[in-house]
Amino acid sequence: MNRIVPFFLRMAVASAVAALLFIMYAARRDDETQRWRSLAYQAESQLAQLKVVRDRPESASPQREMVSKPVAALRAPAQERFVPPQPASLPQLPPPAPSVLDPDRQEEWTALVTGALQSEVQRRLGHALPPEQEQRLVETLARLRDTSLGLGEESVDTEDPAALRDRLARTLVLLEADRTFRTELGIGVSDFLQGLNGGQIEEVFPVEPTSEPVR
Amino acid sequence: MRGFGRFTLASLFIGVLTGSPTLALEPGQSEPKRLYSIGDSATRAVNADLPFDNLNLSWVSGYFGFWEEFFGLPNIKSHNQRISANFGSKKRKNWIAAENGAEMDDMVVQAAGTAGKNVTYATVLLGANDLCEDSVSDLPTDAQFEAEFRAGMDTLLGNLSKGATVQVIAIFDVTRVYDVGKDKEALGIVDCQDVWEVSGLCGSILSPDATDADREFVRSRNISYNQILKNVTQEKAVQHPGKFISFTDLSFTYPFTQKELSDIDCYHPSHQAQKILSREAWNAGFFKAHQKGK
Repeated sequence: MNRIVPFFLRMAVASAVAALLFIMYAARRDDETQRWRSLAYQAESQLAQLKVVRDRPESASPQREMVSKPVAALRAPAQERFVPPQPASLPQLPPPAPSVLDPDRQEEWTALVTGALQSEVQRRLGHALPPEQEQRLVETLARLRDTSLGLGEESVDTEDPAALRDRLARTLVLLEADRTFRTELGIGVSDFLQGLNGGQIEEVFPVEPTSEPVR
Repeated sequence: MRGFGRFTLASLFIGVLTGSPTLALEPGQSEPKRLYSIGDSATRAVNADLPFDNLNLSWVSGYFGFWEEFFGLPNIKSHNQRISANFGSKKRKNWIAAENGAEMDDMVVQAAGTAGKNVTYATVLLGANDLCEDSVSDLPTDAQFEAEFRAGMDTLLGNLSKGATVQVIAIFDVTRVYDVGKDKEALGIVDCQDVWEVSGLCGSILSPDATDADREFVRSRNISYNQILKNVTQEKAVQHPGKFISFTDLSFTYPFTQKELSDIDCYHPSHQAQKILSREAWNAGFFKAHQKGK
């Protein structure tokens, strides 16, 4: 009995110390996390808008225009030697499910992406993008966003030709986005996105971007 | 002794209070916060979603941050993400040594990169490219493959401290890529066999010149290499009792389907496959009790 009381007293003290340390730790991180919370809040707002808009039935012309380009122009650099079927032999592809932000949200989205794009280009290439090129790349990223959201849906019915064509059309949009970035900036869109996330991963053996098939 | 008991009980209480996960680790095991991945293009998630490397979609080193969510990219819940979810993001390190085209004889160099990094969790997924030579006659012998893997493990384990965890992953069932991919023409426009022909990927299995007998031979090598990986890993686990070394063949036995093959090259794992590989490897390893972030 004599030992139980001191034991519980020590436990209480230890608990209080642990709680205090936890609070101090949380407080110290507040400034740092506040900035990220703000960014995350912006992202959540944008994503919520995207989800709402994605469910809307109206169509969007940009994707139709993209998908109707000759397939040769959509070829992935990874398959430089690959000669795809001629356009005449291709079935008509439906455009990917449309998703367009309302003008205000699109403006905010564009502003955020434009800032990130210019910053990343400045860091990598040491100069600013001309307005026309900037616009072209931001539009490419907007198409990438819409397409990725569509592709993120897990299940595709492999027996449904329409679903498969839709998936293929979306994949082609990703390839086109990558091709545009390689042509305009000399890096793939995946490299570009990785640059925005500096510090998430460290390459032990950094590699130069390639356009050859990779094994 | 009683004092030690009280200390343990108090630690347990504080651990519960603060959510510390250390108690659920094996005795003497370090938190896997310093992650290092050894591998090839599968670990770099080549063509898993966008063309070429998709490091964010790597089954082991992948991440899902602000910009990935912002652009609607897939979230594969990699080991890196699971580690942060279960053990906290403070003092995290996430190194990737995997290189496209790497074969088992590259393991020593990749493993040497762990020197001085105090790595506490390393993964090894290598060997598919050893099976994917231009011709079946170019495949390494069992003795060559074993010597290369053994040297790689010795280098790796020589650089890791006690308490570190190592997970070795079996080579995928590469002939299944052919079995599954040859029907992927249902995608509508691009016949996977055409893609294989022009890309030249994994000629020993996917080339138009490769026969069923070739594929049968490669599959037998696939099984044999995996057996070597298993045997050597188990041997090293015995030789290094202070380290936590395991092998899983779930990557080989998992019955992957068309959607788990890249839509771009019909060969590499898609982002769906990366997600499955992350989950299966995690649940087969020492951290399976840590299921936050799954």
